[in-house]
Amino acid sequence: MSDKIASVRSLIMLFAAIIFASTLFDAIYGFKNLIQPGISLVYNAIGTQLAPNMVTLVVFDWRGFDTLGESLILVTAVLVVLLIFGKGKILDKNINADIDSVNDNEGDDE
Amino acid sequence: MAEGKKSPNWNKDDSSPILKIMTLPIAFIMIALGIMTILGGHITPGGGFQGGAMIAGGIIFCVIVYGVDDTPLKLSHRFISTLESLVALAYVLLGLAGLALTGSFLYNIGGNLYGAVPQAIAAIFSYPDVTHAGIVPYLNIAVGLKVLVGLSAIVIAFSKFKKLAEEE
Amino acid sequence: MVALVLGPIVIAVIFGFIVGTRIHLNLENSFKFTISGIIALIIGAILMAYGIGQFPVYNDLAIAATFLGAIFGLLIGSALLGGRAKGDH
Repeated sequence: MSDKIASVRSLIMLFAAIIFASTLFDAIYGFKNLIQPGISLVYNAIGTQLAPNMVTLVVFDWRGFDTLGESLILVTAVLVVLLIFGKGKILDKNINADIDSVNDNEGDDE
Repeated sequence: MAEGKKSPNWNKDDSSPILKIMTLPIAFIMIALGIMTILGGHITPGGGFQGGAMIAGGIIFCVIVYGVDDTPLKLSHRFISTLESLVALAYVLLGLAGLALTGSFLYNIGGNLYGAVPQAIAAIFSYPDVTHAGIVPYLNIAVGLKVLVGLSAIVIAFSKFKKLAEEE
Repeated sequence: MVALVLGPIVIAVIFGFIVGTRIHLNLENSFKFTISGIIALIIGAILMAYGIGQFPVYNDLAIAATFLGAIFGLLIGSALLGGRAKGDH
């Protein structure tokens, strides 16, 4: 069972990596032609047609890709807190049982 | 509402009954203020991060007063992981819709400043509001849910570490 | 002028419903959702919404409609789904 779960996990991981890599590559490809000097002035004039709050527009509309990475910082912070301070103790009992059974099977094989 | 009891049973380790009665309505009001801040993020000062931090403040208030184990606003492990991954997926999918329709990641499909999308598709993603800000409020909601779950997860984790350290 | 914008109110009710389904009461000295408690909470919320004014959408009702919508979503969510599941909920 654990092999099946691990293979499904690695497949999902592969698809996620492909999606992120394609978006990153698409952002970089032809980037030199996209840069226009003075685009900030243009956006400052144009942006308030969309919504009145300019700060939210810059954060979520103009720099939406930055905000995606910025919101993933919190996930990373939680992961690091659990990793350093918890030492793997706060897990669900199912996950722990799964890990324990895997370890036991490996020990039996050896 | 202590019905038929002369004095509430209260041991010294718990919080006082005044705090225990007043905390849940105050947490309700804090959560509703946070939701209002998130939904007004494109018109008024505020936004997803600030509103999510206010909602997490309500949940943290309940955790501190009632304790981790019997707090009324209990977020389970499954709820936290499911909400976190669903909201991140929604954010990426909104960006991929812009990538598929116009060729640039996270293009504002509903707002349609540059006219790169036909009007019928832009009407689907438009936020039902007076401003018609496009996908900006949806991204606000997504970031608000992520921040609410993440900040309260850190506090819940630290409270459980304290309990683990007492057991050892 | 009263021109009610329904979209943010509906989203506020859904958002409050999501958070309200997490409420699980098993305490003796806590706030109980009796009728008088709910009425007191709603009266306080209406006073607060009148103090906030037409906050998110500026040509709407004279009270903060999304705030009240979030309160009602929380109450509906906690009444319908909160506290029903026992263990991991």
